[in-house]
Amino acid sequence: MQPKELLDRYIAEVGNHLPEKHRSDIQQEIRSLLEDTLEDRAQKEGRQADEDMVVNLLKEYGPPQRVAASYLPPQYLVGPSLYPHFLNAVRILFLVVLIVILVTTALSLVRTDPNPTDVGLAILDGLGNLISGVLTGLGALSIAFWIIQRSLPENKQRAIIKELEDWDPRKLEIPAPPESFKLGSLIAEIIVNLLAIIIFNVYINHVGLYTFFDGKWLFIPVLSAAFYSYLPWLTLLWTLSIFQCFLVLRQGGWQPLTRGFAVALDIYTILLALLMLIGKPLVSFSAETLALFEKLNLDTITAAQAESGLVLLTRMILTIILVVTLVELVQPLYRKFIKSALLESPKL
Amino acid sequence: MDENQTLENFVLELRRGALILAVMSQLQSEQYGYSLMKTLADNGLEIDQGTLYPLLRRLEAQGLLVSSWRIDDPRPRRYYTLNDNGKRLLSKLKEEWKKLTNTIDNLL
Repeated sequence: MQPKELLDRYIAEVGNHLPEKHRSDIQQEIRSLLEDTLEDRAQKEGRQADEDMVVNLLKEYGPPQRVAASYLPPQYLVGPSLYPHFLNAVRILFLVVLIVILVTTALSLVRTDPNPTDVGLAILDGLGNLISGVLTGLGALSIAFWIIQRSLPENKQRAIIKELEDWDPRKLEIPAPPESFKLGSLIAEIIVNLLAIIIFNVYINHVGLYTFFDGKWLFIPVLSAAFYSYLPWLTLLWTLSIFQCFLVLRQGGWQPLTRGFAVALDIYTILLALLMLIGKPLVSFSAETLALFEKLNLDTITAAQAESGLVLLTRMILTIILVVTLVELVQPLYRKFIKSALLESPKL
Repeated sequence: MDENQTLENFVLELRRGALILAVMSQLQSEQYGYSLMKTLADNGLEIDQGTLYPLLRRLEAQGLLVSSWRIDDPRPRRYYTLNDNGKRLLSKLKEEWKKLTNTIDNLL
């Protein structure tokens, strides 16, 4: 191959990776340099420039893409000035998608009469939706930020970086103490969960209302069939809670793993509480119970009112559990991601 | 990464830091790319062929050099030279370089 042809091909290839605006000028410059170098080498070696000489020279000069890139400013999908904002947006996206999936999963279960298999499948489905939701959101965010990156003038980008550098040490947050735990509350939690497992699994036939009648205590069963269907899931929850406490004790404090476990447990609690809240009542008066009410000289209306009252009470308790767990779940995430994002974000 | 490779990388970093001053010092008179490269190489400072022109363009974009194409040479060549801003900056850079070398010498 002729040396000139090789040079032409090389310069054309470099040009393919350059913006049209400066292409011709840069190509001419590169050609000038290469031809000067080639001429000098041919003189030193006392021979005409040949294909080998050109190949060696071009290899020294570098691959066309790299040579073209050296003429251009750094190309970013999301540049340094926007990257902190991008990260914050990703965190918020994850939180929003998580909440939406939680709610939609719970609602999907509400429409049917769920059994344990349905719940398991719904959770798996929810996880799948979470992953696909996050990936889709990530793609959309990347495109959005790429557009902003391309549109933002360079002086504005520099201003954003400068704003990040104008920080006041006095405004820094006090570092949180190491993730310690309260031994007393962990022990209490273990005991309470253990008691719950024992009471609701071994002594469940003694869980109900008691009244003193005719010189003795009378037991009134109130738990419904629906409650019994939730019992395995409740037992699992109490068992996992105990396991979490042991993990924390063993590790000497809260670690990322136990924190993650706690979040998963909170999500499980929320889903279960939601199911129990919206599903069939956990308490109901069976025929046996109504017969006992008759024995206590209480009419059916009173019995119905008592049943409604108990149902309302259980739903109130479940609502409180739901809200408290939701706040426990969201609060650290809010503090960690959204609050710090709002504090750190300079104005665009 | 072995010791020689590490040394090579660090030496490259050192040279990179001095390159702008070296290039500007030679552009007090008009030069084209290859002549500049040769002058630097003859003085012991090899500059990568793919580094020189992007550097010259950056300096020109920063308003320190002026350039012009000459077609009366054996081949079209772009000549570069410092403008007034570049000359002022070069003089300041020389001062900074002296301070820096003194500092480093004291440290070493």
